[in-house]
Amino acid sequence: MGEDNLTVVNVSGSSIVKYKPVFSADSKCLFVLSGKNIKVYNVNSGECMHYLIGHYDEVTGALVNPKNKLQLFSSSLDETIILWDSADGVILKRYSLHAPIYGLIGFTKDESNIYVMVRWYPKGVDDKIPTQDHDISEYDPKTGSLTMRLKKVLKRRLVDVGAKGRYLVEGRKKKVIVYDCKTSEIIMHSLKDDFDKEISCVACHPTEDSFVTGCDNGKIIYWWNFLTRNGVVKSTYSWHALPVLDVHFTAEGSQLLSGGHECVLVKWKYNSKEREYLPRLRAPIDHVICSPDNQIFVTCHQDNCVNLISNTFELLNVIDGLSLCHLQSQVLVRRSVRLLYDPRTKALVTNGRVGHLQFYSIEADRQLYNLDIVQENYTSPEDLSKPLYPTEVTNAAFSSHGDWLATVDMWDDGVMTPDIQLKFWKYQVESQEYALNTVVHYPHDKKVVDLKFRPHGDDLDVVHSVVTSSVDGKFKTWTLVDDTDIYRKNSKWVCDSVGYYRDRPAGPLGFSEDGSLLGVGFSSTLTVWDSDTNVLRHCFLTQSNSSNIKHCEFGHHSCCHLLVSLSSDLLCVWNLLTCAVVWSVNVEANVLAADPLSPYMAVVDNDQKLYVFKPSSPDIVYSKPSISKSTVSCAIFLPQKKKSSNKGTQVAWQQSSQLYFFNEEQELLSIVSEEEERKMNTLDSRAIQENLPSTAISVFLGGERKALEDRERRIERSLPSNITKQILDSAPHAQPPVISLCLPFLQSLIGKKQTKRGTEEEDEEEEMDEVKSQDSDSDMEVEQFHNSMKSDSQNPVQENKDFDWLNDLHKSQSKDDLNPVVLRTTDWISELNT
Amino acid sequence: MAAPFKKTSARHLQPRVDVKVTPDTLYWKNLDVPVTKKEYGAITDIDFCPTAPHYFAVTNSTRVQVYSPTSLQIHKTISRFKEVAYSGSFRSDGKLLVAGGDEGSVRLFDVDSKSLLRLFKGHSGAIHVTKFLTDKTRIFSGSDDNSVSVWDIPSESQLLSYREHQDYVRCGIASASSTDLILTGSYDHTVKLFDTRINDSVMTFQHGHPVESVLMFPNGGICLSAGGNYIKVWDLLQGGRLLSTLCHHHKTVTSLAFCNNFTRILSGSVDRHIKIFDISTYKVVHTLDLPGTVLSAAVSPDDDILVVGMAEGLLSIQKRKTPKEPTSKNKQTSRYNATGKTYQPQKTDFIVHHKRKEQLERYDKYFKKFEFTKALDAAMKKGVSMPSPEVTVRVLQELMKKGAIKAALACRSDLSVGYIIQFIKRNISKPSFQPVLLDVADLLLDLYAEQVGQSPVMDCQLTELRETVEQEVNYMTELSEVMGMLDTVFASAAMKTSTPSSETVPVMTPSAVAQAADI
Repeated sequence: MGEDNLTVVNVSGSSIVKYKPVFSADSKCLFVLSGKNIKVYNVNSGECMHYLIGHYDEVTGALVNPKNKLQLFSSSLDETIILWDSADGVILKRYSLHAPIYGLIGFTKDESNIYVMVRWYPKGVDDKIPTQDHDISEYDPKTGSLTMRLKKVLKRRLVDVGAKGRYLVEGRKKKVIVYDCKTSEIIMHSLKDDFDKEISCVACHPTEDSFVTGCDNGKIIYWWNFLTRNGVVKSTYSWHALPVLDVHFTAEGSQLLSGGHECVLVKWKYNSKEREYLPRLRAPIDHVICSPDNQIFVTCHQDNCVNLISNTFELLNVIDGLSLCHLQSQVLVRRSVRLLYDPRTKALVTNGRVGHLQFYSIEADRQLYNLDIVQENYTSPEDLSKPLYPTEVTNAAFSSHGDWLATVDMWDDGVMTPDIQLKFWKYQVESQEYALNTVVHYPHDKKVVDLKFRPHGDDLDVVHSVVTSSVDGKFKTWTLVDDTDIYRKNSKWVCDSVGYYRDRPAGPLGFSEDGSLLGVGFSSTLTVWDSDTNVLRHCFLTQSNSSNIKHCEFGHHSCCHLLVSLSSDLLCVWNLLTCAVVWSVNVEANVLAADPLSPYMAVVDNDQKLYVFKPSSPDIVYSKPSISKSTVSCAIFLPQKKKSSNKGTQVAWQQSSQLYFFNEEQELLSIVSEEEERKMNTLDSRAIQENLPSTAISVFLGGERKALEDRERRIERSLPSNITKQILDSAPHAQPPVISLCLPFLQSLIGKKQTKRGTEEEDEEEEMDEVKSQDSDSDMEVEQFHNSMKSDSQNPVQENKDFDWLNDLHKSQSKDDLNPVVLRTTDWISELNT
Repeated sequence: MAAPFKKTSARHLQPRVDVKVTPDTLYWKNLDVPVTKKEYGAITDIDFCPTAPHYFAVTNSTRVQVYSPTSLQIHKTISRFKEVAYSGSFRSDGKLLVAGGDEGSVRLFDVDSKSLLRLFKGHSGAIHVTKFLTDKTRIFSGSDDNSVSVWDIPSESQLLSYREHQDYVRCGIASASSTDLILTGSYDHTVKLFDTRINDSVMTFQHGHPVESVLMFPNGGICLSAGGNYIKVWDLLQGGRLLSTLCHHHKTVTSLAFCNNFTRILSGSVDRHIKIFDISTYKVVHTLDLPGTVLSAAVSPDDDILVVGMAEGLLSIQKRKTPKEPTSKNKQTSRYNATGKTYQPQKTDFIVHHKRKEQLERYDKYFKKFEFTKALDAAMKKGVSMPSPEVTVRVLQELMKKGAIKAALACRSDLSVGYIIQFIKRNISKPSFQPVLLDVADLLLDLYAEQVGQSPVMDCQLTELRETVEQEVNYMTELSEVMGMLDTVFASAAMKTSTPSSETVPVMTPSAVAQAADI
């Protein structure tokens, strides 16, 4: 286990809103810059068509080649500019500039040279210097020469090139610097008024000699006649209350789009007060662009979402990745929401938009949907320095089958009495969504710390129950009761019992695997309660001066008699049978995650070092230092998606589940083997196929290939559990001696990959023949059975068929019952191997 | 709109969760103000005519009055009784009416002409129950001489007489599904089912209390008996099995009736309540309060009128409200212009739909415009704050969440501050409003601290508010004291069950010497 071929990868995909997206010349595609790739989206469907992959570092800018509308320039921090054929995704040319490029501004008047934003320092040094001091240079692709035009530019949005490359405009604090390309002159103008604030963004008119600056105080200023030193003309318009984040002219320049922290897209008539609004967009607007045919506006929001909006202000499509929290308060809240797993959609659930829970599918790298928990309008603060406190989801939990969702939302501004609500949502099978069932106002007097559903294994008749714990020192059990009366059928949640221990604040909760025991941390004491009768069973006291318990997890599977508690400096494992400490270790950690499908647990300490262990022994199964740059805030084991395909590459502790974790920079990370990482980075051809428009031949080919794939898959799947199934299918008294079973069984576990399709099909045929013969005479079977015993050692593959008669004998047993049993045996064997 | 404006919802702040608005409560709330009449004696029986206009016969003292269902006035009075009359009841065609009385004879009248058609003599005691059988030609009567008799109308003769009851027979009903079955209840605590083809009773139910009223479902499968505080439900088809016992009244139940097309049962009781039950679950769905001891109650077959007779001689008639026709307030002043409506868009046309505005409450409209002071004003209006204070509280909370509460409360006139203080005073005792209202009260005191002492009106209101808060605090203190006491009791009870029984500890008895010394 020690050898470290595992790496940390970012599975959430990169931010899609960090840089401005670009429309293709025909307005049918949108190029979204996401990490090292450029994603090409179809504007009409909102689906990702394909990726442009080729850069080795973050892509920072893109521009359509004005000379050939099907080509695209893109710049990256890897010091290159690539010229793409945007339709095919082929690299046409790669220009190297020997300096990290922070954006493409535009083209010169003859459309041959590009204005680029570069940094003239060696890469290693400036990592420590905060992002400042970029230069705008003119790059000639033919000669490869860079000519400096403007110095010390702060941000991309403060620069624009105007009127077909005649001048460059830069906003710098309260000044505007214009570079006249014809005369190579630099002209400076400044905002003289004391009330004016710094310029926050600049946009040039596409045809006229004018440009617009947005300011920190929300004012929008038009500038004319700026190429002369004295005769500059300005006019000011104001609507925004907060800093303007982006301004953009429509393609013809007749209208101006502006957006900011108010989450409102404003459309201004050129140099006029007349304006229209699109209010209540989901988050502050970072970028606004307009398609070349003037039909579509695109807004990029701070929560990692791109909206496609028609010019009549109708929302056409939403492209969103993992929603990010744009408020600092939300990031803190995530520590208590943590990461959740929705067993129904197999999605990762966490908080995202204000007051929402997002369901994010890792496989598809897209958000499935947002569930509005709080149901309040988001309002931006009047003053950015005094943030408002929106109501936030602080806790959430799913029942084991995903048919119930419990959430706690809380509003606390630190001055007024906090508002706390506990909500229960029932999954509606008909409408495929969660519907609000019960709202409990003030479930606790103070902040709710933890919320857990009681697991109840496979037993379906058990009454659902939820436990909440709070700083007010109580933990409460809520149960689902029947509320049916003669008018309607209904069920609701009521508080069933309240528990407390020595007036201490209740902390983390944990249920044992079968749900019979409930562990509650009360400051430094860990208490174990009988969850049926609500009687205190035992208290586990750590050292008297130790800190509060932060996590409490029961072991799973072979470690189900163990209870793991994590306080800020101590990890302690208790044996529930002897009520004694099994082992403990001093570790300063904040994150503990338990795998529900295997006995393994993971701890991330304050130096971001990951330890994987089994509660039964203090030995470290796996460790990896510095898994994240910033603090890991939460972690979760999610069940592996593709079980059979990559068994060889998975380490033992990740065989059933994969570890995902979230850091404070809002990156969703995971640990995978290097092979996996390579696989993830390569182009997923299937995705392209699905999203490309289908032609007649592609339909034909696709059908054929699918059929092929299906056949392969079916055979592969039926293979592994064959012998196990036979053994389990048959009654014990009808089984052959164990000795004869042992070898084929073990061989079936090893030889999965060696079996070929051809032999398999032959076997099937043989089996068919046998079944026919068996029908006639039962004595025959015994003979055959003896034969098979002899042939055991010779041919492992044949074994499968020899036990088939057992299968036939016990057909009445349902397959559904068997599956879990099979799973468990393999699990046991994998443990043996470790 | 990118996202629709989310309306301010106050559902979770409903002060009482247990009181639900059910279809039944709405149905019974829809009755008009009762028309009350004062009669001379106790109203013992009310019977609705089964045919169309549904006249109803009210029996009190020495007469039977027939009321009109439309005017709710007396339509006819049959007063040919020497002594107190009982049980005036219509035949199924509504043409004949039969009544018993203290004088011991059964009288049959023609309703139209009020003339006495037949007089059946034979009982030796007062007759409290007289009903027609379903075949229309026979009458049965129950008397205080403990007998039940069946009479033939054409021949004016007694056909049968059952002497099985041990005490007064005070109630009875003829089965609607069979022409021969009679169910009678008696003060001997039994309900008996008679078949007029046989000379004996076919079934006897032990009710356990003097039976005051019986009722039978029209299909004849299930019957109910009322007596004492109990209503019992019997299954006739299963040989008289007791299906259910209802005990929702706390005094004797005197009358039973069907309503809502036999889906609800109505029971009147001496405890001045009428309860309405659902027939499938036998759960109370509604309760009506009456000003007197209910002796009889009936609902018209079309569910239009509820008539209740009381021991004090009060007759209460309640009619169902007629659904109001939506009256068009202002007549159309301009002619409807159809221009553009007839235009059929062509395929190539670009259609821009007219945006229909969503209807918002006034305070939501102001919230949408970020006019917080006006939003608070709108929520404080009497039309909002009186019937649904939870909405006002919710608006206050919303203002807090938007960080605008201070601005919304500040700079108000004495009058509008007064409204807010009054609102707080009225609602501060409701637990779910308390946290918000206390915060608002604190803020108000902070904001208007300087003006205290300048305006006598505000001073007065603040003093009142303080008194209310003090009362509430005292109340809470008392409640917590009780809680503490109960906790002790519970704790000690829990202790007892867990510790081994302490009774086994031997008690020392005084020895002989000690006893002697004591003396």
